[in-house]
Amino acid sequence: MNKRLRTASILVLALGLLSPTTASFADPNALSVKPGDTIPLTVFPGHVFLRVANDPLAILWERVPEYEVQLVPAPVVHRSVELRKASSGEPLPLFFSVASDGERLYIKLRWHDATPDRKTGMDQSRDGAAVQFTVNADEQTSHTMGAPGKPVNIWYWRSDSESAENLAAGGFGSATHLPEQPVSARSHYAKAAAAEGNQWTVILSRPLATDGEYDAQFEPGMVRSMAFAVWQGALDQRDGLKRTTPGWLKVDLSPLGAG
Amino acid sequence: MTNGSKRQLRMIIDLNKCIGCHTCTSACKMMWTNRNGREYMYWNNVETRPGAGYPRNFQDKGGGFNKDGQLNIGQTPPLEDYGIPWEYNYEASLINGSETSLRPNVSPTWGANWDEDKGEGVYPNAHYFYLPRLCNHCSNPGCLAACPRKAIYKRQEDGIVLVDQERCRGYRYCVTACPYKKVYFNERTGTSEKCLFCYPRIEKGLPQACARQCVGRLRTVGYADDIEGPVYQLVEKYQVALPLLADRGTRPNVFYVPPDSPPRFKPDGSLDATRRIPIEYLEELFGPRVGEVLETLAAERARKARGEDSELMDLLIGQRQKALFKLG
Repeated sequence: MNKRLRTASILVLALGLLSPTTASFADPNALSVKPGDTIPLTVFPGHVFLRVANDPLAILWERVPEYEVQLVPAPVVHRSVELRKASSGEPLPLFFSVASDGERLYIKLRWHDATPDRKTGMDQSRDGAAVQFTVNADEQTSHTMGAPGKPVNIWYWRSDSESAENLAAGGFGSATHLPEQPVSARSHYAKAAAAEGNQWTVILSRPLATDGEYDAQFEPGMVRSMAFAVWQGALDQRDGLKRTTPGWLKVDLSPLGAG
Repeated sequence: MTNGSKRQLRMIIDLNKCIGCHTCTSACKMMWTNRNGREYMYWNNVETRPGAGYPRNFQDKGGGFNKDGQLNIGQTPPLEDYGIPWEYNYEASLINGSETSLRPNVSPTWGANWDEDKGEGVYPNAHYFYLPRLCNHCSNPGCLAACPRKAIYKRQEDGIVLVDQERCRGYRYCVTACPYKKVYFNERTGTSEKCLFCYPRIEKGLPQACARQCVGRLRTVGYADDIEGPVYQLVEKYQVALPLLADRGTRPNVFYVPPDSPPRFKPDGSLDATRRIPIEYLEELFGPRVGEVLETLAAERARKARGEDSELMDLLIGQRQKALFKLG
């Protein structure tokens, strides 16, 4: 973890207290990061908690540092996606926070989307978002769905049922719904004066420790690899038609032990 | 011979015998698609040709493979092109009388059989025929090629193409990739579904419900490699059964005996030498061998009419329905 980011996080926290974040595209309060960067986990003070589980509107979030990462169209790995390249979309800024109350890990995702697409129909696709971790903390694996024998754990939020799925994958086309479903989510779609300012805020969370064989575990001292994806229903995105971080980000869990 | 499967079950449908009664469709619907988000689906349908087909104009919606064997993009038909299912206000109009007229709860604009018996041409040369359609359980399925999750597979023992409901995540690429539009998206389950070729019945040695219930006995079922079986006789020996839209590159395993038709009337009322259903139209559907097949059928029919033996005609007549099915 570099000092620059940690100092910036404190600054962001201070700025957040002074002027709450707004829905502008270039958010001056969010620190821009790129794959390979390490960000620190924010641990809520002991007396602070979310009154409503996964509440995306909790004022608490204004005190948690937010980062910005550029999502780009995922690499094309199947003919069905190649045929629909027109739906791959432009690069998309994603704002995110990683926090814990000492019991659960919270991922907050925020991005601009002019339309809330909440239906999966025969000719309609839903909005969605996901965070992906390596299952084994120290393992190097592909940031695009992992690799055979080197699995990834994915938490997937879907707008049609306002629910989260706990998935594992070991390569393209292998995402599998896991028997244990400890991930939960809640979203909020906020409208702005202009449609391009409309945005989703999604909170995904899970207990730090779980029993699932393919669940990523979060312990003090770990540095976990993490990646994001967003699906835009209005562009008929699903499957590999999505925008993703072009590599792994890292999250430093040492603040967990400090409390 | 077939993509990955050891044996291939096939079905032959003799269009000369179809009376358009929809018993096959009813049998299929009662067995598989009258519930749980499948209400709009007709895994088996009978459409009038010439006509728009089901779903509407499916032939123009792409899918299948190009000449280089590459999967083509297709279009997803909107629900309106399948027909929005409706219910009637039976309770209100017939039981408690709170409404005076019996009517559907949606205003229908299209349905699976909207243009039934319309056909083409004007009296006395109007013409149409019925085309029963179901999943072709192709040897090179477009749906299977389109699925990045390998949720669609072809069974080793009989070549039946199935969608694994556990693996399917509802991407709907298969719906567009099928040139016959015989994969359907179930909005309630969020997965794609299709004709199973009644595999639970096949496993018990019984023919598909559509084939067994057919009052006209126009469906023949058997294995492609069974030289003694009726399917081999019709497809390979007599070569009178042709696949639908073979140019889409999926190698279907449902075949059709093309329909003959009476001669056209000339303006003076005398008969023309040409068939009323234009051969060009039949060739669009069944390929360039249609004329040859119709000549074979005419010659064999003539033999039978003269009191001579015709193995082919006996097979197509199907006096005993059991002879049409060889599932062993």
